[in-house]
Amino acid sequence: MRNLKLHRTLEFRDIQAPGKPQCFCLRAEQGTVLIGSERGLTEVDPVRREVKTEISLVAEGFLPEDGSGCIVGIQDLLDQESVCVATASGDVIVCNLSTQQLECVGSVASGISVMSWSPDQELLLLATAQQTLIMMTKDFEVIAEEQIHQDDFGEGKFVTVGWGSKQTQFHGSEGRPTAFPVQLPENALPWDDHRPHITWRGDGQYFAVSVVCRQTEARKIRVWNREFALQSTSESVPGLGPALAWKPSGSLIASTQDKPNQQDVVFFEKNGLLHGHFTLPFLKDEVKVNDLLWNADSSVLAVWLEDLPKEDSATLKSYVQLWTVGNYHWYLKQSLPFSTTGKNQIVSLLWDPVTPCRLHVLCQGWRYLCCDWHWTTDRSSGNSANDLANVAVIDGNRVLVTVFRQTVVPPPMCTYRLLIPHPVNQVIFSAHLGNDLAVLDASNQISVYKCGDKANMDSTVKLGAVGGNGFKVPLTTPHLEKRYSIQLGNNEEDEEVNALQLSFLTWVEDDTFLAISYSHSSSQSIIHHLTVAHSEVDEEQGQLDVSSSVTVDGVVIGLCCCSKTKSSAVQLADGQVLKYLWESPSLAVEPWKNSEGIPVRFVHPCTQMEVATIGGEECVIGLTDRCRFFINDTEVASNITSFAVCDDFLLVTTHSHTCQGFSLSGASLKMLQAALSGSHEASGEILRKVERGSRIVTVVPQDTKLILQMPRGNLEVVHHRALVLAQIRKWLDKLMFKEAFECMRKLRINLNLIHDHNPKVFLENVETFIKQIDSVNHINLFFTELREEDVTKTMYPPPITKSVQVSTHPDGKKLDLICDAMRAAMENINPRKFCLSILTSHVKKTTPELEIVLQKVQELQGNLPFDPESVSVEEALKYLLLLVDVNELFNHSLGTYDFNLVLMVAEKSQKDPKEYLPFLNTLKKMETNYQRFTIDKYLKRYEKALGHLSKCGPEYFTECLNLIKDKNLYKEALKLYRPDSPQYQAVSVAYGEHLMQEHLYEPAGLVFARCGAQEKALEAFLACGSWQQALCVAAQLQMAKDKVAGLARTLAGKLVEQRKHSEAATVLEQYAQVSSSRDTTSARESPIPAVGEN
Amino acid sequence: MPLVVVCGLPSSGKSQRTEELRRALASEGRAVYVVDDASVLGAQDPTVYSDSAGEKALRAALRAAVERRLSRQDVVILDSVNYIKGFRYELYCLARATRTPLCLLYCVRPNWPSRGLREAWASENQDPAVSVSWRPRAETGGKSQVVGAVEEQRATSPVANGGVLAAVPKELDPEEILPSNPSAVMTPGSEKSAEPASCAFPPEVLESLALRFEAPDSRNRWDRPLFTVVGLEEPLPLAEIRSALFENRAPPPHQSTQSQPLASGSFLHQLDQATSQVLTAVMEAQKSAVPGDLLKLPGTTEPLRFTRPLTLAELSRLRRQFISYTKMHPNNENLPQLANMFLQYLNQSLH
Repeated sequence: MRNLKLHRTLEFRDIQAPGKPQCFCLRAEQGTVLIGSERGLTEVDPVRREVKTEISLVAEGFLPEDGSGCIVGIQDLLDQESVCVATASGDVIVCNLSTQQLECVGSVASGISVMSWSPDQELLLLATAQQTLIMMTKDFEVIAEEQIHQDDFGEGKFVTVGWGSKQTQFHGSEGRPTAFPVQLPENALPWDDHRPHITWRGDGQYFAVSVVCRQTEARKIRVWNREFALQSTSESVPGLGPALAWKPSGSLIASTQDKPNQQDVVFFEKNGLLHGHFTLPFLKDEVKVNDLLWNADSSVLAVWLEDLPKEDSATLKSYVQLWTVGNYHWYLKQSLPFSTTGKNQIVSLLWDPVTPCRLHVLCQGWRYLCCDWHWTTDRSSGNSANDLANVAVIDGNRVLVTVFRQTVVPPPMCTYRLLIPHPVNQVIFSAHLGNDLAVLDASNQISVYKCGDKANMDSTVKLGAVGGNGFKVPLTTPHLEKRYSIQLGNNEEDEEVNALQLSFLTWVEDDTFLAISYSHSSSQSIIHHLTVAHSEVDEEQGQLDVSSSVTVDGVVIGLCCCSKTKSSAVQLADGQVLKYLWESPSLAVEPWKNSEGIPVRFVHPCTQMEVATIGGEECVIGLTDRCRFFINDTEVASNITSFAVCDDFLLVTTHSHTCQGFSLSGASLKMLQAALSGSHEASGEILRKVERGSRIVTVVPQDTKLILQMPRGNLEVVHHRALVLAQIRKWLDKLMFKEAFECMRKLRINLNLIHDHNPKVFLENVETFIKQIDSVNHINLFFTELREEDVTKTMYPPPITKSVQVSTHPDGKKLDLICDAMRAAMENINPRKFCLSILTSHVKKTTPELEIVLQKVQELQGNLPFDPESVSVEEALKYLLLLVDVNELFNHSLGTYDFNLVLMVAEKSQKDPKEYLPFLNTLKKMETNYQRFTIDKYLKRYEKALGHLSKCGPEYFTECLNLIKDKNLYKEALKLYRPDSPQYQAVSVAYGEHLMQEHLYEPAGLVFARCGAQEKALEAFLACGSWQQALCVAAQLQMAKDKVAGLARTLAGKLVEQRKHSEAATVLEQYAQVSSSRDTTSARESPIPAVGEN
Repeated sequence: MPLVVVCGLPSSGKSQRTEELRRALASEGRAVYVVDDASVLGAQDPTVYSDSAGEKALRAALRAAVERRLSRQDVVILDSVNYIKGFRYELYCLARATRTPLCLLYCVRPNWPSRGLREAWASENQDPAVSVSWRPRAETGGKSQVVGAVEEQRATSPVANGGVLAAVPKELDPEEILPSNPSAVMTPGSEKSAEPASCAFPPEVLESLALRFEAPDSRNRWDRPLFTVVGLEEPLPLAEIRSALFENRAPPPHQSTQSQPLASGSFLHQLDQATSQVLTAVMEAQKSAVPGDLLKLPGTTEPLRFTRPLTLAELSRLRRQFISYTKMHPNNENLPQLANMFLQYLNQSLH
């Protein structure tokens, strides 16, 4: 989707040299041009506009004095300071340019018609007038000589595998007649020059020769290899033209063919068969093709055409057309008119061998032109939200416009096309009103198209891929406002090459254009202000006048406008950037200064330039043809293939097939440099892999679409993460939840961002959120994607670290908070409609509230079935099963003791009805409490089960006690019975025994004591040695004295074992009636160590 | 084997000393060749020194004669004025290239006592003369005043000359002394007529020679070892010369004297092959490449970063540049690396 844009023109008029120019060649290393005339050679330096050397070939006798001589070829010899010249009379002369010495290295007696060097300058090919080809080495040693006409087909002769003749084969839909082709006369065209033409393949391995056979008068193309062996002969093509050009990349040989009603450029393969063609936009016998030339990188085919003389037409013209191919469609990108008589008649054309899009033209009146084009995408400025992201492609006299905001159609299709009466050379979008465009054509007319509210379609605007019959067009197409012709105030002679005079036409204001022209005599350029001339009469055609012009010292190679600041950046050939304030009355041109006040100068001249605001500072961004990327004078990266600036985003594609997007508002130069230099810190938001060789076409402003073009020409739309997130953040800040949600859902952005972007605002505006989204499914989707993590910290860190917002709930309560807030809001708005979402909000809580959910489902049963908003139980359950595991839900439903619900859940589950139905039936038969007990037991909710069981009555007490003992539910059980009930006692005894087993004698004793099991209590107290309790129990038991004494002794023994001697002594003294004087052996020892111990 | 360079102004006894030395060395059974102006020019023509072109030719002839004779066995004595520092350096390089030692014999005119003394003093006390450059100038200045007070008129011009050349005090010395008494040169020189040559020198030539004379300085490695003989009476330091010539180790050759190592005969062919293979591979590979790809080429370890379509014309130009550079430094060690070197060159120059 690119156009060729004139970059600069260099002109050297009226070169002071003798004779008439005949041919020329370039000296790449010196940057000079060698022009051959019938008098000799002239070396010209076009930049300094001076004649460097003049070598007369007449003086040495190589050319006749009378001016009838002819130079057929000049070739600059690399590294030798010399050129090789061939004259028609047959001399091959090597001419040293520094010493001006001439040396005739040899001659062909019959004369030479063509001299052609191989691209690597190792071989030299001469076509002699005797219809032979001579191949020589670069040292002029003859390798071989062959006849130019060969009867043989060549080495690559097609092999017949015996499938029969062409006539017997099936020819598909074309039918049988094609088997018998009509033999058209193959005679050479009447305007054919009958000279041989030679072209080399780019790698010098093959060359093709086009000659007119003397006997049959037909033109044939023969392909030879480097070893001078004939490879193939072309198939018979009627009306084959003389022009011949082998594509440097090696695939095709271009030539022309006159067809019965049109004129085609046809392509041959190496084997001599036709492969493709395109039609020239002229009628039959209107023009002749003088020459075809491929540029160095095989991207542009220059066609040099000339009007054929007719009786009625007075002025004949010639044209140089530049054709390019994309997505298998040939586009005519530039058309340059020249005259066929007088000074501006083209003598010869040449593409620059090194700079791909530089064309050299030599005209009859010693006039030399050198034009540079470069590839550019003409897209609308994109600085307003109603910009439709238009991209215009030039195709002859049509401009194909694609509106990317609404339609993405691959070229050569388009949304609509503008028909212009002349071939188009430039398309300009208005800098301030994105959708308006102006078209500059070859006749130097500007057609202005405006997007107005005119209802009817303009006849010059045709809908392309969209629209058609019966379709409604929701698109505002532009209409032709007016055509203007430009009055530059030049004399007539200049008119013919006017197309090359105005470059960088820029539409800055409603009726103001800027354009640049170059001085012919010095390295100065003029910036013209073109304004609409107001005339009283409302004419069909308006006029643009130069209202003012400013002269700039230096050759301007770039101009770009910034509509916001009303300033434009002008780049000079040396890389210097100037600021031109076109609005100010002084029309000052001043150096563009960076933030430190130093004038900006690109180290290498940039072919693409834009003005952007980076971190609040206005910067110039430039990209050279060698992929070096500059911001102001800093080289930020050296592997950038394309870039685009949109809103505050800079998007670039790199050699490593990635697309990176940077937000410019908070960025600094250093950050960009670091990010582009390939440090791996580039987060996923910035970097994105793209297909091999993708280039940016345009970015849809205020949207997330980025349109990329693949090398073949097809398009791809990607939503770059950086753009998407920026847009979502913008929407969320504006509380436009609907748009944000839709976008996130479509582009799989984690929905947590809606909350995490600004939790406080979200929680405050939950109701707005729900009202905007207004879809149960979408809200459910939001719920289900909710996670505890903060995605602004993990997945989508903000590009600029803002003042860190402390999240209101740092301790993992995000889910509960959102669920509760949303539920409240939903219940507030329409609980019936959002029923499912409400259920989800319960389920999604950190601890799912399934019982509540089930209860709510149960409540639904009462709903009226014909209410369209409400949800049936069926639906709700079905939905719940998506969220929760079915077994869990079954269990929970069982827990509600509602068998209908259980059945419903069970029906939805994969459970076997043979299993669950009997189970449920047995349950149903039971008494309520026992049934609930069974359910609870089944669900392992033993406490609840115990509760129900205890209510069943005393007959179930044994079962109950077993349950208590099994599940260790003593405490809970004790709460269930009254303390005076026998069950209570039984449970207590069981508890006490359990505690005894656990060796917790003291609590066991207490439990026993409380339930009145005094013996057991005594035992327990005895076991734990709590003598007071034991003796107390003994007292309650009203034991005999001697028994108490015995007990006391046992206790004392235990206490002594525990080294509680004083207690032992007390027990013995008070209960065993043992006096201190008549101490027992056990007691006698004891006090002494006890004292000692204390 | 070794080379003795005799140096000094005309009629300072060079030929005599040469003869003396030759005889002394020949008596030891060594082959001694003497190269002098006469043997080169044929007929003695002192006017040659008034003509710079002729002098240049003479120097070239002398150098050629020395180079022809110079070997590691035979002694060559170059008997000429040899007043140009650069020429002496050339001779030094010559000796170095043939790996023989060299010594310099500096003959000083004996009948200028002031100068002889000063030279002797200078050669003995090198360091003060070096470190304090103004001192000899003040001394000679004083002396020239004493000696040169003979004629006022003649004394003025050297002062003017000295002013011009004041930056080089070393060269100033002889020039200030000599012109002050050219008549003294003429008369005693012709009277003594020790050498028939001196009388043939016209006074202007003598004067200009004296002006141009660049006295040897033993601090320069090409003027070392330096033997200064004053007058004809002083005996030749034969023992030292002998030791300098036959016992010293010859200076090792270095880059400027070493002859280029012969490259292998097939070097150029291989260079041509390797580079053209790389070119063919690049042209082939870029047919299917997209800018940004890394092209793998046969025979190379590094990839070539492909950034834009390349034409054969551009690549051939680079190839020619590379070949013409590599031809200057042929090195067989590079042979397996040629393709890689060429690739590096391409990578550098294509961006």
